[in-house]
Amino acid sequence: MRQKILLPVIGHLSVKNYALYPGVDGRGLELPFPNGVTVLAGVNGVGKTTLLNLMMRMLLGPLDRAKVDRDLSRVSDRTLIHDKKFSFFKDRVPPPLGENATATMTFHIGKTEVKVTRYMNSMELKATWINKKRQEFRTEFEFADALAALSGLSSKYDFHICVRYLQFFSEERLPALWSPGAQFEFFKMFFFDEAAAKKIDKAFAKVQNLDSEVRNRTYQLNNRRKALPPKRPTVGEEDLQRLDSAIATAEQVHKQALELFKSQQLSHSELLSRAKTADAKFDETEAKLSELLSQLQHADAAFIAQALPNLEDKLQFLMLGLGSGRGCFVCGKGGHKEALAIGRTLRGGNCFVCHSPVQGKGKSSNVEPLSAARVRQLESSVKLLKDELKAISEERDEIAKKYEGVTKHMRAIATQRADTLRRLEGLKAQRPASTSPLTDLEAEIQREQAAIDAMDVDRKRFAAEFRAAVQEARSSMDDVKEELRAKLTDYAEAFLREEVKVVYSAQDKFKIATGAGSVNVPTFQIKMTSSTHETVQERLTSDAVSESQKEFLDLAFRMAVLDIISRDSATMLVMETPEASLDSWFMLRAAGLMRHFAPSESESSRKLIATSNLNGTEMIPALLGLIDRKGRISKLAANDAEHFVNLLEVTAEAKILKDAESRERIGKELGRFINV
Amino acid sequence: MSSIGITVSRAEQERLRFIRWVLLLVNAAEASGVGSLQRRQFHSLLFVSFASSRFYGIEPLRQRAQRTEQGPYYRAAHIALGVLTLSGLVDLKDFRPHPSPKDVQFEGTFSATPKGLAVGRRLAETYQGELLYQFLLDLCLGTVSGVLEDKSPADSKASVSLDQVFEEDLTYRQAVARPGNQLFVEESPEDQQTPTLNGLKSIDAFLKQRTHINRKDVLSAYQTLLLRRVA
Repeated sequence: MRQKILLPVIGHLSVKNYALYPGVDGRGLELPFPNGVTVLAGVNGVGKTTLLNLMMRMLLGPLDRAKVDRDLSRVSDRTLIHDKKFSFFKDRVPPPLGENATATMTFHIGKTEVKVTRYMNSMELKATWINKKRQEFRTEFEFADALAALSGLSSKYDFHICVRYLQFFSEERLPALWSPGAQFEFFKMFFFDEAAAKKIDKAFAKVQNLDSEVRNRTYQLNNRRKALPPKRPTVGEEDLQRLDSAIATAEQVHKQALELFKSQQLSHSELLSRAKTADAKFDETEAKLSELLSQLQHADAAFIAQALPNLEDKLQFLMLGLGSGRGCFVCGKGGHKEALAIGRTLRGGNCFVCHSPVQGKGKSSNVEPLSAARVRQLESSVKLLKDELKAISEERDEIAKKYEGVTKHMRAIATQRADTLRRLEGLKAQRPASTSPLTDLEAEIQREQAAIDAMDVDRKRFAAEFRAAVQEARSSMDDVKEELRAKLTDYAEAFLREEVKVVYSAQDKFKIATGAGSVNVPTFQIKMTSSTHETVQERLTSDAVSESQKEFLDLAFRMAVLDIISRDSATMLVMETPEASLDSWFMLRAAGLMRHFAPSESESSRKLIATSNLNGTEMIPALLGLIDRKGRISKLAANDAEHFVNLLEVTAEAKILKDAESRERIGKELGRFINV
Repeated sequence: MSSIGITVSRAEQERLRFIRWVLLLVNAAEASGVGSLQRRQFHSLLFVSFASSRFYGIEPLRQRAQRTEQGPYYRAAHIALGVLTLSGLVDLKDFRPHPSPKDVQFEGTFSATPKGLAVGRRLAETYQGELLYQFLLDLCLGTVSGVLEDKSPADSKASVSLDQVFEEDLTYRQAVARPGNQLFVEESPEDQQTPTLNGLKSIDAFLKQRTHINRKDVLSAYQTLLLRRVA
């Protein structure tokens, strides 16, 4: 349950230097508003509505709702704007309207007395007093915030709504009872927990803002769609789809061929690299082998040479031959002299046969003997290298074989790649060429549609949040719904003199936003009998009742809500009496109820300020309580004089008063209940 | 590897390798029972060894024989035999010059000496030497088993058979069939698969399917086949 709400109750209004309200003897307008009913009577055009507006503007200033909607509930922007060009009152009098034209109003919010003076030409603040102490407010918004705080309402916006559409029942009134959303708005404002109410407002704002954007963008998008040129008739939609499908398939096939080609290319490169490595290795090994073979051959020959007898050995052999008597192996001569000759020749380093110089003269004492082991070592090394070379050669052969295979395969794959590309390009060429702008526009439209679709998802999500917040807050009505239902029933029955059943339900559908569905909100619905229905029938809409019934039921709702809010504190209702369509019976009942709402004697200040036409009806005396049960009208007592304001006496002279007959008629009417 | 003290020129290397081949062939003939070889037999056997050495994975020496009425004649063999004889590593008997339109050719009978056998053993201490000797020995043993089965090497009939078998060698017959004065085993790398080698491989493949054999057996079988052809 939220904190207690205190509504403003007007105490006094004075207007100075304003041509429409010159007052008695030009001293300006001075209007006290006592407890109970006060009637502001006049004829058409005298300024009744203007006066009610003035009273309202004295409370609200030149502020208005940022977003105006006849449905109070369908407002996402709960802010006020300052109309710097406000000229309502200025426009109703001949120019110029100086700054000396002011209005001062005193009102109470609970126990706090607020006095405010405003300029008539703009309704801007001139001076403010709180509990008789002068207080400055830099802006209208600051003053409005202060009043909201005093009233216990959540914001200056709520204060504005409460005063303008609940307390003031005038020409610009908005439906309350007949709008589930408006009912819900008032309940939220007065009965829901503040935090819950804020949560609901926030969620609603989110939905509304997004809904607005979605609808705007959808509207613009549809317009853009209309701007698209008509599709070319050369290729049907189905043909195009088939072609696109074929292109997609061809792209896939080409992609696969390309991947295969790249894979083969990689294998090809790898093999080439391996081949080069193997070739290099082969060359290197071959070179080593060649070198080693050369060494081996040399060593082998050297070993043979070492193994064979040297020249010395041969000499000894020959000497042995000679010495043994065999003689020279050439000529057969033998002898010591011949042996010496051979030896001399050999020791001289010459061949004893041809006398050419020979190597290895004498023993080769300076040469290191070459062992068989060393030769074998070389031979082993050669064998190893030969084996290695053989292995490399086999590897090269294997690589070459694979390379040949891969190369052959690559040719086939390259051909396949080219073929698939040709096919793909051929298919693409068949597709009708679109000009760049059209394609861009279509793409843009698609993107925008996707964005809108995404926002729609969010919109639904926010709507769900809103529903959840409403559901959560509905329990706040539990404390007041019965009392409110009872009061509304009483007022409605009293107004209409018909059996009325007021049903409270949480099933009324409130549309959250165009594309966000609805939510069940707590509302009151009227069921009543009629001349054609003896049993209580449901009358859900305002279209199902007469105009006057509609107005009074709406008034009954306001009164009931004000009663609940105020309970034991002050309250005020300012209205234009909807008497035009009332017959006298209803008129009396309405007046009676209005007096019941605002009795003169009550513990707390209850006021009802009503305008009424001087049209010969009994509305005014009824409002003033001057008609007895028998229908006789008495005169207004002197000490009750403040309850009746003859606007003809304090406003600018109405043209009707220039007519003598009219003056007489008005005088007669007034004479029925006041001392003229 | 530390540098070898002896410097041997390329030409000298070939000459020394030829000397080894010749010495080991003479030693193998001795060891296998073939015994001494006449000049003609020696040169023919040399030719046959070059034609079949690849069967043992031995690269033959690049030598060409001259075509003579007495069969193939290697001038290098003549020089090698001279060195070996003068060194006392090969024994030379019945030495006499042989009339020839060119070069100096000699007849004689060559056989191994103890010193030559010792040097041969030394030469067989290397892998190449060992393999070469093994091959030449198997060749000679095959000749013995195939040709001189029931004959003595000194037997003139056996001697004639030996000559004929040598001259029946497939590669020899191919070489002889070519025109020109030179008899070569391998003229180019394409000639490495000599008819002798192919024959040996065929015999090897054939016999391996039926029994466990070694290369010596193959050489023997080859010689036997040649003999049958002669017969």
